This record gives sequence, structure tokens and C-alpha cells, in this order.
Amino acid sequence: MENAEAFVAFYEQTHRRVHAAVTATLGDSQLAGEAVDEAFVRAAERWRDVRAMQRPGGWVYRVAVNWATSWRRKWLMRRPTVPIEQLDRGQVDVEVDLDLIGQLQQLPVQQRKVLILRHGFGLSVRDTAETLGIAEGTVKSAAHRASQQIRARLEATDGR
Amino acid sequence: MDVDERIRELVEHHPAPPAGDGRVLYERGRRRLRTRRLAAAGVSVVVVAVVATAGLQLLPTDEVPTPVIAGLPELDQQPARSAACAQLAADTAEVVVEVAEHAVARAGGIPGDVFAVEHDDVWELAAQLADGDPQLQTAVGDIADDQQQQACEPGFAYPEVSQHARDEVERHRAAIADDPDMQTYATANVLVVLAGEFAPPTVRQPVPEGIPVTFPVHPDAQLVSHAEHEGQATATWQLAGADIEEIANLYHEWLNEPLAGGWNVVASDGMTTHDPDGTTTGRARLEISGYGTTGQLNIDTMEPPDIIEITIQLTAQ
Repeated sequence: MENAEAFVAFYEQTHRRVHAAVTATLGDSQLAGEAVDEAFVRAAERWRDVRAMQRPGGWVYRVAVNWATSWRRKWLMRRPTVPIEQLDRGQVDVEVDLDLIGQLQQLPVQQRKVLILRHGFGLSVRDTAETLGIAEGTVKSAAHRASQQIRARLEATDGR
Repeated sequence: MDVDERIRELVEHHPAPPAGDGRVLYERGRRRLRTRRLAAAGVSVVVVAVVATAGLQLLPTDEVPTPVIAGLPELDQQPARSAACAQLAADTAEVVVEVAEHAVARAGGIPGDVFAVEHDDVWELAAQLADGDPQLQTAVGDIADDQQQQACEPGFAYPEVSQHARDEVERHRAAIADDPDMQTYATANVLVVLAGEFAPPTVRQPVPEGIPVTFPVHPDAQLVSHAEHEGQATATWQLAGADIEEIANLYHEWLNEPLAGGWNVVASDGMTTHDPDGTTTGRARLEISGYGTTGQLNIDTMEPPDIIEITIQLTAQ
């Protein structure tokens, strides 16, 4: 039972943040919900290993985004996604930075993941690289390039 | 505010998602793990995904391997659909598991071989059973997905469909009652994935009389003798061109099921000798129990030593 209790505690501590990060990455709140559930189930399957990780929340985030990306490739033609604008504007009473989410969607998935882990989760370059299984140099260049692109696009949008 | 700061704010202050249940997800993960181990051990698996919007299908009992995994419709988390789907599941789950247990018992297994898993897990199981064949996996998943969509579409006319489902369930119960020998087994509009078609090539062969159908027989082994008398059964197979240690390891893996009442290796010993010419000779012995039996499995090298003899002696408990 100790494992179950530890897993539930981990879930309660990290679920909200992982869900927010995956939603921002995918731009689809409903798909994010399914992806995060799936990722937590996979974490339960490998709980002994996941529990021992330095950043288990980052691992769940990565699995959720990968699952959703794969799911989209398979099912894009069959199920319309629910854009976050529709979901969030109608259902929640909280200001959501939809412009930013929209701009994030213009980036390659890898760049989105780097930005979210670096700034959403506050991971260092090294931790981000380890979580995503890529080189530190790749993290630095991806983060720099992605930030510049978004900044330029947001400024252009604001200037209109 | 800079981009970096806006991303931090976005994650920190995003609206809270619907409250989930970590324990439910944990249990689902553990069930998947158990199923994966079963499949890895070469256990025949039937995946049954239930949707109650259409009629019954009848399958001959002899097509039913064990264990049966009954997939119940997922309790859809979307509020608009949840009541209908939850009720649908409740209406059909009981009878499907009941039927599956009959089928398992008839096939020589024990009722505990029947598990209920969530509909979503059908995808996961399909992936395992398809053994890396993406076309097959997609075909299986498509059927599962279509069935779920059919049952849980928005606007799903629950009262009418529910009544139909209830009628089918009642008809099904009557079929069982009228057919005590269970010549057929019925499921409430199921998707059935027969392990014989989809499982990896290590799936067992049929077993002789008196041996539980779940006993694994190497696909290349030839039955050379068999006897059954008063609750005791013996069978011997020979296998050419094999290595005794490899075969012993396979059986050790196959007979370690993470299943209550399933195969279990109680003790093992053996002695093998590696000859300079590269051949291995010797014997391995496994004390085993499972499926209401106890016994001993002996694996011996013959002459020439690449012929392996596998003998099982089982006594009903």
C-alpha cells in the first residue's frame, strides 16, 4: 500500500502543473486531459522507476506530450480537436494567455517542450536536456530560437 | 512581461483541471502491468471490449482460450456523457464477466482468470497482441474505438438503447440457463481478439487430456506419450535442435504467472554440463503448482543432446 499512497501523493502534487504544461504545449485542453491520465497510468506501471527519478513530473509531462503527438498523427483525420479558445473561454473564469498558447502552437513540438520545461517547470538547461534526452546545446539553441520567434510574433500582434 | 515570464505564469496560473483520482490511475497501471506479464509469459489472452448497443454474438466454446479479459466500456469522464456510459457499463459488465467466467471454467481454467479492464486498455493490449504489426493494431483499435463512439456519442439515446441492452442481457441469461453444457458462449456485442491469431509465436500448443489448458507447450515440441488415471496425468514431449538451458529458462518464465491460482514455480534445481564441443547436457526440474494441480516438470537432454525431453506429471489437488 505504501506504493499506492506515494503514487497518489505524487499525483496530487503534480497533476495540476503537468496538466497546465501539457495544455499549453498542445493547445487542446481535452486532449491534454487524456494524455496526462495516460501518462500517469504509465507512471503507475513503472512506479518503482519513476519514483526514483530526480524529476518525475518532467517525465510524466514528456510521456503525455509524446502520447498526444502520436495520437494526433493517428487520429487527426477522425476526431476534431477542441481548440483551447473554445474550451477555456466558455468554461472557466480565469484569464488564460491564449495569445501565448496560440504562438506556442506555431513552434515545432521539441521547441515547445524545451520552453515549457525551462520556464513552466523552471528546470535548468541540464535538467531539461536530461528529461528530454537531448544535448544541453540543443536545449540552449532551441530555447533561444523559440523565445525569439514568439517574442517577435507577439510584438507584431500587439502592434496591429 | 517577457516570454519566459509569461510561460511561467501560464503554467502556474492555468485553471485547475477537473479533479482526477490518482488511485484509479494507479490501479489501472498495475492491471496493465499484470496483463503485460501474462502476455509475456505466453498466456493466451482474449480481449473482450463490451458495447451493448447491438445484438449478441455467439462463439463456439472451443475457440475460447484462457484467461479472458473482459473490457468494460470506459466510464466517460465528460459530464454530458457520463451518466449514460456509466449506466451502460453497469448494465452489461456483470453479465459479460459472468459469461466469460463460464467460458473459462468450461475451457479448463478457473473463474479467477477473468479480469475486467477499462476500455482504453484495449488499445494497449492490442498493441501487445499485434506484436508490432501496426496494421493489425490499428484494425483492432479501430473496432474498439468505433464501438465506444457508438455507445457514448453525444445525443446517444440512452433510454431506448438501454432497454435494448437490457433485453439482450436477459436473452443472454436465458441462453445460459437453457444450455447447461455451454455449447456456445455469448457475449453482449463484443470485440474478441483471439490470442491464437495475434499472439507472439511462443504461444502454446493444445494440451493432452488431464492437463490444464493453460499449461505451456513449446510450439516445436512433439508429444511422444501421454497417460491419465484417477486425477494424475503424465505427458512427455520431445524437442529437436534445442538447448536445455534455453528451454528450462523458457518454462521457468512461462510457469511464473502473476495470477492468483495460476502457474507457480515452487522450487527448481538442475545440473547441466557444458562440453568442449559446445553442447550442453543435463537435467532441469521444476516443482510447480497451479490451476488446481501440483506436480513436477522434468527437462532432460537425450542422445544426441540437442534432443530435449520435457515431461510433466501433475496431480489434481
